[in-house]
Formats: sequence, structure tokens, C-alpha cells
Amino acid sequence: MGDDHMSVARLQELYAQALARRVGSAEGCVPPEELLALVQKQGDEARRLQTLDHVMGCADCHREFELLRALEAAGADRREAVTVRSISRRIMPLALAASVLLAIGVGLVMRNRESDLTRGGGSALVLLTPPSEVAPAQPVTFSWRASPGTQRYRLELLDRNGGVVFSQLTPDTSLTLPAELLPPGSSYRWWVRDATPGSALASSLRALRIRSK
Amino acid sequence: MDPASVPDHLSPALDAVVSRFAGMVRNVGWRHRLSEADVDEVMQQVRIRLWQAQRESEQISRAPASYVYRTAVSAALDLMRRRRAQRTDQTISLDEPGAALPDRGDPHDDLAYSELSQLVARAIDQIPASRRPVVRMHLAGHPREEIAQLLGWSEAKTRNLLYRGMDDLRERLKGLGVGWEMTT
Repeated sequence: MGDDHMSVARLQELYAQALARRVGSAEGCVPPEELLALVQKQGDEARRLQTLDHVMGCADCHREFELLRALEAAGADRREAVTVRSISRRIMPLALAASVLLAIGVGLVMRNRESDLTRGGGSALVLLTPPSEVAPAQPVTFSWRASPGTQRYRLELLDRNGGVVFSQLTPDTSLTLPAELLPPGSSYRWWVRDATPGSALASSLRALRIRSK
Repeated sequence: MDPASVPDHLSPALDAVVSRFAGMVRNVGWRHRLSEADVDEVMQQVRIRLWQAQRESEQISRAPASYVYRTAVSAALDLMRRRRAQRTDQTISLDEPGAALPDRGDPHDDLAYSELSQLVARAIDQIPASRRPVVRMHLAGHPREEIAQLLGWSEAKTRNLLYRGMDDLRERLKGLGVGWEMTT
């Protein structure tokens, strides 16, 4: 070992290796509030350095630190340049377009109600189909397990930034979208919520990619 | 407001604010290899919370971006608390693939590499606490400007502490029998 000479680059490699071998445990980790204080530069500097020292040596805390750092950076520019009312005016045409899509969706729901209905149950909404990748130019059926007491569900299809590209309310546990709404090569995330007033039940987000032709 | 009359989805305006915020988080996070799954989970919680909070729509519509930001931070903190609670209950096998060393061909090489990485980790642990986090950030690949910005330090102060910290590290590695060439 005495003959080992190393550059900063090799040190970085060895340090990364040492970190990768550390076993994760919540014990000894800094509380989330201290991670936030570090990101927001709040409180005593010595304490923040202590927090940072732990963060840089703990993969789990580092991941959380980066999440808070990204939220803080995105929230740094919180100027309310436009009011909700003015945004509403600008995107009214989009809302109208969405209404048309909803109307199409309702028709599809009525057509597929019997065949696509899935019954089941559970403490959270469980998504069933489609898989994460599907063939292009075909209708896609979204389905999920039924939840006891749920009067209606809302399916939302989101783009990469989480913007809603399709949203539909349904009393059923499936919904089929026509191929025209899902162009080849596009990627989405989708989820289902219990839209019953007062319920917070929701599924996880699931990825969906339409294969290229 | 009667719960039954509360809309079950976000208004297009609020949805636009949420999407814009999520896009910014992803753009920033991409540079730091932020987990897409983490962003998804937080933004999903944001949507649920905003949907439930629409009764306070006046507050939301007065400052939607601030409201979305605060909601996202709150959702992220809750996510972390949940994860910590789960980790406390977990038993992690040392044989997990994530703990494996890179295949260096020769088992003796693997062992020497492993020992060397542990020596580096031990040497870093011995650096004075005021300089250690800066050295850790540097070795993790964060540029000096980023370290200065995070800690609210001047560039000069950051550079000074980093150089001194790296000197400390070199001395401690020497003490452990490891030489060091400043080639970078």
C-alpha cells in the first residue's frame, strides 16, 4: 500500500467506492428539517456544516438533499407574474379542447363499460393496465382495481413535466383512449384518483411509452 | 364551501403553475442526477394536496407559485419522514448488488482496491470538521462555485478552505502510508 500514489481523479473514484459500500440506515441521519435549513441557508453555520458533512457521506440523505435543492431552486423565482385569472384567459382554448376530448372519452367509457370493468379491492388504488410500453396506432385501455366506497375515479395522463394532457372522470375502473390521442414515440405518466369528495385515495404514478412505428 | 361542490380536479390555471414548477424542478434536478421517481412522487402529492385545499382557493389564487412551492417542500419533507421510518425497519444484506465492488479481474486487486477506498474514507473522517464537508463535496464532483453558493461563502473563502482541506487529506493519507501526486 505504501507505493500507492494517486491523483485527485483517483481519489474521487475511491471516495465514490467507499460511499457505495456504506450500508443505509435511518439511524444517525439528520432530520429532514435540517436538510431544509441547509438548503435554505437558515440557522447556525457550524450546524449546517455538520449537516452537509453527513449528507455528503450518506447516499440516502444526499438523494433527499438534492430533491430539496431542486425544489428550492425551482421555487426561488416565485414572482407571481400572472394571476390565475389571466392564465385562465390564455388557456381557455386549451380547456375547450380538453372538453372535446372529455366528450370523446365519455363515449368510449360507455362503449367499454361492460368489457373493461375490473373488480377487486384494496387500501390504495392499484393500476392494472396498460404495461409501461405499448404498440403504436392502437387504442390503449387503462384499468385499475375497484375501491370499496368509491363513487367515481379520475384518470389523468401527464406529460413529462406533469402537465395534464388528458383527464377523465368515470364511475368505472377502466377507460380506453383512441390511438389518435397517443402518438407513436410519446411518453407519459398516468395515475388514478378517487374523486369522491373528501377522499385522498390515489394510485402511484405509472410510466407509459407508445413505441415508435 | 360545500365539499360536494369542490371540483375534483385542479383548475387549468393552477395546473399550469404546477406543471411549470415541476418542469423547473426537473431541469435543475437533471444536473444533479435527481431521481425522477422522487420528483414524480412529490409532484403527485402536490396535486393531491392542492386538490384537497381548493376550498382555500382565494389563498391559492392570490399567490399560486408560492403556494405550489410551499406545498412541494412540505410534501418532500413528509416523503423523507416516511422513508426514514421504513429504513429504520429494514435489514439490509451486505451481499446486495449495490455493495459489490467493480470487477477488477484479480481478487487480490479487488481486496487492495477495497482497502484503499476504506483508507481514503478514514482519512477524510479525520479532517477538521470546518473543512471536511468542502472536501467531500469536491471529491463528489461539485464545482467550487456550487459549494460557495450552497454555504453562502465567498469564492476566496471556499477556495482557501478547500485547499487547506485537501492538504489535510494528503497529510492523513501519508500518515496511513498512501502517497499522493497532485496531477489534477
